[in-house]
Amino acid sequence: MLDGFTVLITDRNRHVRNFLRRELMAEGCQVEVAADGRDLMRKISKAPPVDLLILDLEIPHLGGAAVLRRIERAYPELPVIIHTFATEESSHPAVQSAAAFVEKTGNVELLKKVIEHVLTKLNPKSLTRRS
Amino acid sequence: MAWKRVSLQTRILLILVALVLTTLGGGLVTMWYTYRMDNLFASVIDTAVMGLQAAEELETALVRQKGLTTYYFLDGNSDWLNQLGHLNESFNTWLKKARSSAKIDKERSILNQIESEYIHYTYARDQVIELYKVGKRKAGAERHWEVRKQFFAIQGLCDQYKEIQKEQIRQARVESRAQTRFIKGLTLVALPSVLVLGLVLAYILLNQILKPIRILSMESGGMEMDGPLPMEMTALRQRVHNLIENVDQTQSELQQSRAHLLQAEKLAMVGKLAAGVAHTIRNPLTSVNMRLFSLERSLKLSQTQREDFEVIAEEVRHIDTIVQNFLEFARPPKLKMQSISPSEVVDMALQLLRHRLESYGVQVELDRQHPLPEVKADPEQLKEVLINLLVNACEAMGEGGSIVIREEEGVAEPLGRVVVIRVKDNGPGIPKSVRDKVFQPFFSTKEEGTGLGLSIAHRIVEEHGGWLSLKSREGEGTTFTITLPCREDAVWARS
Repeated sequence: MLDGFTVLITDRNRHVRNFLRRELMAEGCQVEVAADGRDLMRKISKAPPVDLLILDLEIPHLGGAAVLRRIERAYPELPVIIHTFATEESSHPAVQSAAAFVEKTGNVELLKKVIEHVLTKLNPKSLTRRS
Repeated sequence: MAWKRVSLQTRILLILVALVLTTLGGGLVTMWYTYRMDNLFASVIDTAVMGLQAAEELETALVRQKGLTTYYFLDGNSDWLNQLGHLNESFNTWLKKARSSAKIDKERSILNQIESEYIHYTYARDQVIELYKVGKRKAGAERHWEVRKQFFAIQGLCDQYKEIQKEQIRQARVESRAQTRFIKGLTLVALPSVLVLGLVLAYILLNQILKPIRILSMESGGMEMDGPLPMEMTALRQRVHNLIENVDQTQSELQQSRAHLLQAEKLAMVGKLAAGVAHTIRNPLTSVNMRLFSLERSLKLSQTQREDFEVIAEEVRHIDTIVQNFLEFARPPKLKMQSISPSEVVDMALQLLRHRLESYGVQVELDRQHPLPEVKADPEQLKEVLINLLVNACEAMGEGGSIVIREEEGVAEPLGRVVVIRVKDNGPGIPKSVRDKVFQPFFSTKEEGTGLGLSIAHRIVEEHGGWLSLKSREGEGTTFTITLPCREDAVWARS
């Protein structure tokens, strides 16, 4: 369904990363994973270009609203789905400007729906590439 | 000014010293002058008066000698000579007295002159008398004329002496008058200065001591005081006493609150720690949830296996709820205040819980005369409180039962105007033994409770400036009462 898209998953928990990778690869995505902020900045600059970033704000080495702002500045076209626990930080203005916010509850189906929605509806560039 | 730097005590002392010195000095000077005047009269006037008297007597004694020699010449009677001898003696006596009272050289030289002239005169007169006695009347009469000239010269000297005495008395009088003038002048200076010093002292006493005392007692007591000074002082003493008591009380309160603060700080630290732990637990828990979700999709399980699986899933969800509740309790979200009628919040909560209430088979009765006035509140948080109370009520009553929500307006001290929402159930009620504990965190009677619901609700209402209380009787149900302050600005905004 989501063939040809490259998704970058950033989460501090290895099992969560792997689980999400497995789920998204089953949907046909190409998946990259990053464990922390530094890893994220490194992976995001590498080819092939990333179509979507799934970002947990609570990651070591540069996290929270700061990493989000840095990505927005460097890659303004890149859609970001915030996948994190609801805290004070999740109401930060930088978070509001992300493509979507999905509370981390363990419900993968909901996350997948949002990913599909963002990739197909909100990313016309990807659509054209896909066709 | 130098005067402004001088302390009040020194000022008063200085003025007092000046006052005393002026009065004392005036008195001493007056005494001294009185003493001097006395002396003046005693010495100068007395001697002058005595001198004058001596001069008078001297002259009298002299004048009375006049003619006696002539009388003797006429009748030769020796009585005249006897009389002359007496007067001669009297003259000499007075001359001695005059000499004793003579103080200045001029007097003395005149007296010396008088004496020598008198000696010459008596000598010449005695010769005349001798001439008469021997019958040389013609020669005697000739000398007699010369003697008469001498006599007049002495009389003139006596007059001069008298004048000197009179002059002395006049001088003494002038001197005494000058001294009197000096005393008068001194009094004229001293009296006003005593008056001025007294006024300054009175001003300082009134303005810088009594007035501050009055102001102090009014400020410390806060009530009007027009009584006399002793009453003011008594009142002031009373007030200072009260102040000291207040300070003592405040100090003990401060110590208590410090102890509370310490306790609160400890609690906050423990809470932070626990919240950190809870937050960390959430991460692997979510991972577990994800895997369970995945398993559920693909597993083909037997009846017992499915039961086991479902219990695991439910317990994991339960853990997640506990952790979430705890996190909410430990890191309360900031209130997002807005003007809203609590009635709207009640409606929202009922709307949200409609299905749940139906599933419990609970009847909800809303007792509302008219919508409550707007208050400053965070609707989301307030809704959380109501949901908590309603779900608690449902769980307490089990199947069936009824809940009455009553909205009221009223007045409660110290909040003033308040809005009140009562949630009343007809469940089994809360036993007296645990009634005080239900608002404490981690206290739960429910099998699956986290023990945080009511304590979160309690805290939210307190953060709104109100309070959450409960009334319960075993077997007759429980009433939770939310009281929220009705802020005046909210009332104005509504009107």
